[in-house]
Amino acid sequence: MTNDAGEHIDEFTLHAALDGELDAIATMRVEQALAANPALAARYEALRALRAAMRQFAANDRAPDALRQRMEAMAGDDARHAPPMALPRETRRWRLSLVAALLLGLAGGGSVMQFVMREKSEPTRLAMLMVDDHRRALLAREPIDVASSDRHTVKPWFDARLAISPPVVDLAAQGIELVGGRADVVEGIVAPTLVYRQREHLISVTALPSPRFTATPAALSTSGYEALSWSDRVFVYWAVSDLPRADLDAFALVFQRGATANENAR
Amino acid sequence: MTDSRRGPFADLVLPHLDGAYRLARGLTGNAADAEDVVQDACERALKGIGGYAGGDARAWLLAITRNAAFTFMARKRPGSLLLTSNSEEAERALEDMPDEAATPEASLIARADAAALERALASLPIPFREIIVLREYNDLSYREIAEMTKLPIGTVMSRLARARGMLLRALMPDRLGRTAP
Repeated sequence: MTNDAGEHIDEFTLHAALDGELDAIATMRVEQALAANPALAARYEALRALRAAMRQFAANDRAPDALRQRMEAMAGDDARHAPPMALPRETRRWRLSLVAALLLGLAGGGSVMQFVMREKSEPTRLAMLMVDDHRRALLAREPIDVASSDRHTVKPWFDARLAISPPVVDLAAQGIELVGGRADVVEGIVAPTLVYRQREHLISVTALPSPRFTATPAALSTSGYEALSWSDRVFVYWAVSDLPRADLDAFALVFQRGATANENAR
Repeated sequence: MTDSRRGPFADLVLPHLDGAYRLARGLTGNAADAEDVVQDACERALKGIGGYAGGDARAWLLAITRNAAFTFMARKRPGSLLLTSNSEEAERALEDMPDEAATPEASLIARADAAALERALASLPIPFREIIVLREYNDLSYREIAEMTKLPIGTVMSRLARARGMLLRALMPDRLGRTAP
């Protein structure tokens, strides 16, 4: 699509114009292109109608009254005046202690909450999250969202749905079977997780995008599970299993070798 | 009127309850789930999870709500973070750049009812859905979306363009054949 001056107006620029994200000069160029090109103008009008329809929908969609009243009750508790809805005493005491913590946190410019949150070191905290995800997956009907022993199935599956995918390593030669993949959520980030099976033990390998997550080689055992972390240029990996420590170490080693081999084969 | 007697939770959270609810509704695709998510998000907010330390209270609550929605979906609907009602469409959309040929008439879109719009939105894979919901339901700028999702701004732009392309395609006349002949 070109305007009078023969300049190309790409799709992103069109959207940015719609969203008011362009400066005056760029906006003027888009206006010229719209005036000169009916197809582009039709596209722009359709996008504008879509945007109007979505905003109309959102404007009509307010938090339901019941929800608002419950939250106002929570806020009432917060300010320590009689809540509109009576809460069991245990709950109230628990909430008041949270309110106290919040107030302290605000008074201290957040430093108190920071301390509470950082009490556990970053790797320990992450390891426990990983172990929780692994256990939750074991409790689910299927510990995986896609079942396949073929890495050429699992990798595109991640690519298509998460827009990122970790290296998927074929470890069949080492007696480790690829079971499939699933999506975990770690601190609000959707993280691809590979699931392998060695003998009767499942191994979850979660790939967290760096630099969002910092790479700290770490190992930890908790509630009967071993967790182990390593990293490459793109991901911080966490492997969790009920395998013995030595076996999980060995798994991590062959996985890393396989990932490097994949990379070099590209 | 009672504001002077209210604590920080009321001041920080209640003004942004509608926004949090819209985000949750857009992400989960239904009203009942959105209520659960917002309730959870408010409880998290009250606990101070998310580490509010001054700044934009709305962005803070939206970030907590987004996390709560992801956790909710991962638990209640395993696989839903990935699988869409029409995964074939999603894959095609990922391969294609926005398709200018798939442009329905603006007047047709203006007539699309809320249910059709919500269905179309629910058919988008989450990575695309969340960007357009943050943009249109919550009116965040590209930069604010990039900060919240920790994505590069270029990725925000491409996902937004693709999300809109997918929505336009989903609202094409042949898809609406039953409701708008």
